[in-house]
Parts: sequence; C-alpha cells; structure tokens
Amino acid sequence: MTLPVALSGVGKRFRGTTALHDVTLELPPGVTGLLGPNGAGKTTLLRIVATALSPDHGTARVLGADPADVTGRLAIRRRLGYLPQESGAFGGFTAFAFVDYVAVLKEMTDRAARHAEVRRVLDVVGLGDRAHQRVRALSGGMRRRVGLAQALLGRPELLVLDEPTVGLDPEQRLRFREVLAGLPPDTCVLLSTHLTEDVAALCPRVVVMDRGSVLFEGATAGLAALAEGRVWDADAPDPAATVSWRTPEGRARNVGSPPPGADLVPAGPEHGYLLITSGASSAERVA
Amino acid sequence: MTALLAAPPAVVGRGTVRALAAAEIRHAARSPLIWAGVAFSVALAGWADTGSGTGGGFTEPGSIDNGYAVWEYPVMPLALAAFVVANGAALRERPTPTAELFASTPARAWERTVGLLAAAVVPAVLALLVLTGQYLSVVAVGGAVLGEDRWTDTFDPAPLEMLGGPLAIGCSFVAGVAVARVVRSRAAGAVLGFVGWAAFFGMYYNWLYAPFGLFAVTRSSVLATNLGLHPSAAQLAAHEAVQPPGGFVHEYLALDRVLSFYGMHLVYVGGVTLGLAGIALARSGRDVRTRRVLVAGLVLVVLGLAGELLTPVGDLGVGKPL
Repeated sequence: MTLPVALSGVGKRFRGTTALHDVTLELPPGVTGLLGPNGAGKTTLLRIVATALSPDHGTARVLGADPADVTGRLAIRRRLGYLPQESGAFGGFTAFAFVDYVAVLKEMTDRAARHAEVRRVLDVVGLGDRAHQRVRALSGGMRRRVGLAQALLGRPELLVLDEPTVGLDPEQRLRFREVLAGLPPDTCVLLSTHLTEDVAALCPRVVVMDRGSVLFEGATAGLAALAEGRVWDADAPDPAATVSWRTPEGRARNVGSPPPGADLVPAGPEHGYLLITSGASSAERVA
Repeated sequence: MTALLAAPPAVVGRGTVRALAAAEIRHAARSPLIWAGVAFSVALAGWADTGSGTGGGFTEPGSIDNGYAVWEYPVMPLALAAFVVANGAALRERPTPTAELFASTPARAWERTVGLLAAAVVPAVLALLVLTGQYLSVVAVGGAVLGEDRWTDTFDPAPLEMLGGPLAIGCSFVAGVAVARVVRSRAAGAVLGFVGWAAFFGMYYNWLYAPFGLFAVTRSSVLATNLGLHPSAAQLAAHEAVQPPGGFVHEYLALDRVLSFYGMHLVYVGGVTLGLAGIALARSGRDVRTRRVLVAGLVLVVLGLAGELLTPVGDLGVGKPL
C-alpha cells in the first residue's frame, strides 16, 4: 500500500539555522498529530508536505507523487487541503468570497457547483450564517474556521493543518473534532498543535519533534505508555524529576524517575511528550 | 454532520484562468474605490465641459491646453483608483501565510496574474462610459471648438478618440499589478502609484509639449505646429484651426486633428500596457507565453513611436507644443 506521506532524510536550513534535520517519516491514512515546542520544525515540515516549500535534501512522496517534480506537485495540490498557521483570509472579502476565491484556485471552475461546495464547507465549520460577513468583522476563532473551510474544499485526500485549534473556544474545538471525526477514514490528516489534549482526543498517531528532529513516532497510546510508571504526585517538586508543576489540588506532579514508594498516577500523552522534550530542553521545566 | 461531509460532485476542471478572471472582474467591479474614481471622473468631465476647469469648456474657443485638447483628462481620478485597486489585489498574497496557501493550490502564480490583469477591463469600460457621457454632451451642443478668433473649427470627437481614455486606464491598472509584482510592498506601491499618477496624469500639461507628447499615456488627437509670429495667409489657411498668441501661447499655433497620429499613439500605449503585463507575468513564475507578451509589447511600442514620428505634421522642437 502506498502511504499518503513518506519522507526520507528530509532537511531544511534557513539562513544557517537547521529547521529540519534528516527527517524520515511515514504517515498512514487517519489523523496524525504533530507535537513539539516552538521552533521544533513543525511548520517547516507541514510546509514541505503541503508543497509550499522544497526541502534542501532528502526525498518526499506525497499521495504517491514527487513534489520536486512539476507534474507531481500539481497532482498533489489537486488533492490537498492546507491550513497555514494564520488563515491568510483577506480582511476585505466576505467569508464566502474568500473561500470561493480559493475554490477557483483549486480549479473549481463550474460556478454553480463551486458555490454549492463553498456553502457546504462553510456549513461544516459552522459559518453558514456568517458567510456574507467580511472577514475583518469576524472573531479570531471564526477567521480560523474560514481558513479551515477553505482547506476542506473538494474533499481533499490529504489535509495539512497548522495549529488549527488556536483561537477556538471550547465549543468550537469540539466542533472541529466533530469535523475531523466526520472525514472519510481514508483521508490522511496531519495537524500540528501545542495542545496534547487535542492529540489525545483526535489523533490515533502522533509525531513528536524538537530542534528539527523526530523524537517519537507512533501510536498516541504509545506516547502515554512511555511515561507509565514515571508520573507521581508529591507534596513538593521533586528535585530528581525531569519536569514538575503544581496541580490545582496544591500538590506537585512530577515526571521523571520516581523514588521508591512514590504516589504514582496514570500517565497521559502529555507526560510522555514532556518526558521526551524536556530531555532536549530544560526550558520546558516548570516548577 | 455526515451528510454535510459527503463527497461533493467532481467540480475540478479546466478553465482556471477564465474562472480567475471572472472572479477578479467581479471584485474590481465591486470595489468602492473604483466607483469613487468614476464619481470623481464624472465630476471632472462636468467641470471641464462647463468650462470651469478649462477656461472655456469644449464648446468655447480656447487655448491649446483647453477643451478639446484635454478631451481624455477627466478619467484621471479613475486612473489613480485603477492603479491602487490593482496594486492591492496583486498584493493580497503579501502576508506569508496567504502566499503559502496560494502556493499549495493547483493554480500557478502566473495564472493568478493573468486573471488579475483581465480585471483591467472593468475600469477601462467605466472610463469608456465616462467618455461616452462626455461625447454625448459635446455632440448635443454642436461639437467641440478648436482654435480661436477667425481660425476655429468645430469637431464631433471621432470613435477612435473614445479609445484613448479606456486604454490609459487599462494601462494604469496593469501598472498597478506590475509594480506589485516587482515591489512587493503596499507602502512602496502606494508611493510609486501616486508619483506615477502625478507624473503621467496629474501634471498633464507637461505631456502637451515635445518630445514628451510622444510618450504620454494619454493625449489628444490634436497636433500643434508653431507658425511663428508672422505667419502668411497661406500658412494660416493650411490648417484646420489656429491659436493666435495669448496666454500660454506666444506665437501663432496651427492646430490639426490628426487621427492617424493619434492611432499610432494608441498603438504605443497598447505596447506599454502589454510590456507592463509582460513584466508582471515574468515576475510570476516561468511560462513560455510571457516572452510573447513582452515581445508583442516591445514591437507595439516601437511601431507606435515610429508611426508617430513618421506623421508629417506637428512640431517636434523640444519644448514646443505638440
């Protein structure tokens, strides 16, 4: 079976800074979360998968085509939906007009069919009643949904979403989860986020990146399993812990190597994530 | 939710450029700035027509820079509006995320630019409507008067003269796109736009003189020939109209409406417009058709200028009215 996304030894540098370092990654159909701190290289990776950026070295196969080749790139773009970190919607356009413009860029040339598709995606993201409001008059969360609507145009086989839940309130995030849950099962979704709860709720698979490298790739349950038996509560932050923080109950939750007899608590993906990334970045430590 | 997410019918197809052009034309036609330009142009046409702005209007005898000689100038505000709207539309993708979003779609930057250039038809058609209104008002009062005293002639503007204004406005729109593709900054685009507009339209009187009159974006079909201070009766009789000394005119000035010259000037402006379109396309990625557009523009510019220079009338003396 051809995997929707297969990267091999992909690297990218910007003005002397390595954004991606020999990334090798395979994404099957379904939702894959991309976790990592700021500067991890998530957005660069997404841009390469979305054909908006070419890698300096390495090879990429996206939807069975080579993005380095003009024909391959076009074939990918015809089956791709991409939401950049900022939605990029023009303030002076209405939500409908902006999504309609992107639909034209996606080669939807039949006006009636295109308008029906634009109405459909705006309904999907819950903006059907705001379709004719100017983008600049919409809230940040609504603008994000306008961006998501354009990404959903034409039922893409690959959805690349860069921090899609930023700016969404809890209800909107719930709706976003419903949107992803409603996608056909053969759709490949790659979404980057800072929120481990989004990954836990949405993504059967997860990739953790830091400093341009992939630190973990596998099932989300596997990320949680990494931290199993390594999360414990104590009255005070444990100096031996890799990461510690205060819980709402006033206790200190520690992640790392627990002392004998520690009060262990169940581990989640966020604990696995912290365990992996804190090894590379002491800045993640929260006392 | 499931019903909403059902796969849409296959809507992907060819004709993206046509669809882009239609979208850009709709956006330009709905631009408040374009319509403000139209309103100011209509007001300026009325101002010129009544003589408030030209010291005589189209139906009164007047000097070289009055009335008929400034036939196309009421479209000046529309020229500025066209540039600004085109420049803004071409810079929509200026924020990086938007550029990335566009880059991830099948439509190439080249095709987006073609679509945008097609929208030049909107302000051009509106300019034609403004000039048509001006034409009807001039015809209704019996035509425009050229010359003064005993040497006047009255004309109805020719159909060819209806094309200069729209072409100049189209050129202004295309220039807005080209500048955006070369200088990818809204602020720089605005400054360049205003400076360009002031130079080519606002200070129109500079383009009434040789050699600038050959290169103007907009000019009249009237050619002036300097007859000196003491022209013979034969010299005076050889021309359609004469402007005697007075005001800005220091010697007898023969005035002739030369449509062949004007036609060649339109070829020149058409070439400039195509050349600017070629620059915009060249800055929008590779496509074999770009070179054809650039070459066609260059050929038209050369042909137009050669045609103007070969017209055996007019005064090409530097600083002389042309």
